[in-house]
Amino acid sequence: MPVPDEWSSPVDEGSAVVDLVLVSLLLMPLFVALLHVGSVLYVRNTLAACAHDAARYAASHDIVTAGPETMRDAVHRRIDACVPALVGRRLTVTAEAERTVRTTPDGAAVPVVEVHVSGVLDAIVGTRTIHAAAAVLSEDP
Amino acid sequence: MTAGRSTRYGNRIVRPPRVPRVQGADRASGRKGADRLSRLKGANVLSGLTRSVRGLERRDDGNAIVEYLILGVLFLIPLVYVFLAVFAVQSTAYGVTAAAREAARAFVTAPTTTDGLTRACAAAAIALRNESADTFDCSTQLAVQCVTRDACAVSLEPGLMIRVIVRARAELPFLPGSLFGHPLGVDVSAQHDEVVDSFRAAG
Repeated sequence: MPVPDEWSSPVDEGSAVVDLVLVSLLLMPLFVALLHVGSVLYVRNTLAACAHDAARYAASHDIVTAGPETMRDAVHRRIDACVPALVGRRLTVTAEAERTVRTTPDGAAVPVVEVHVSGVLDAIVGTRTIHAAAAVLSEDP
Repeated sequence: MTAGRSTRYGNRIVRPPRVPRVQGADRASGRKGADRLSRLKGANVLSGLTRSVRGLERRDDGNAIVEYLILGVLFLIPLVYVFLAVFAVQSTAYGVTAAAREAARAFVTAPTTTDGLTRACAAAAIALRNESADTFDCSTQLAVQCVTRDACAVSLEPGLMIRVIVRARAELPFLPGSLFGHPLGVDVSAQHDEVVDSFRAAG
């Protein structure tokens, strides 16, 4: 019986499912990292906006003149109300408020209320701490 | 011996020899692509033509996995850039909104318009400094208008409404202005209306 030269099995054909799994193992971490970057950026912007909102509230005349205790309570209330529910479940927020003095671009020293917010984001992989700060012109004389 | 089935002779497996493909036996040989091709072109095409077409197809074959991986990574990179750019714009938008509100509030609490402008400028600069690191130029980026009157009075009367407009530019990441001759970015502006308090100390 003559031996045909096309006897060899088609070894070049792998299983498509295995290929897909192997490539997905490489691509999925990249995709998850992308989601992570997006969520961190979003939370940072949200925290900055909330810090500013809280500072604005704490810098109003009645609160800033009532003392640091009142100011801190006001900031905490405001931050809790501001951080959206979507982020709030995965975010533990701590906030500090203080009244300091800053110099404006033209050199004048003005009283400001500064709020520092740091949130621990329970991200897709691990946790990540995100800081945000805001300063607002104080309304006390 | 039937085509497409292995037969055992003693200890060795004898596979059936392949019959010429032009006779439609590709289905039995397990080459799906070739089978499809010959079905597409009809079973009675000249064998030379079929063979040359099949040769072209095989040379073009690339590894689909490699393509999938490279394209996947290639499409992820612009997505990362879009993320960075969009969130930079969002940050600036939040910043100018806050700055406009601060400037308006600072303006209406000042005793005179001149004093108010100075305070508004300081307030906007302080508010915006946290959002973006670049400097704030009050003469070009901050505008205060009176909504209810043609011209703002020198002393701010109770009930007077003012409108503050703050403009800023969100720079696109990794695109230096020196490369294109002018800075590339997205202009963002915010406006805020504020009323001078009805009960305020006489200025």
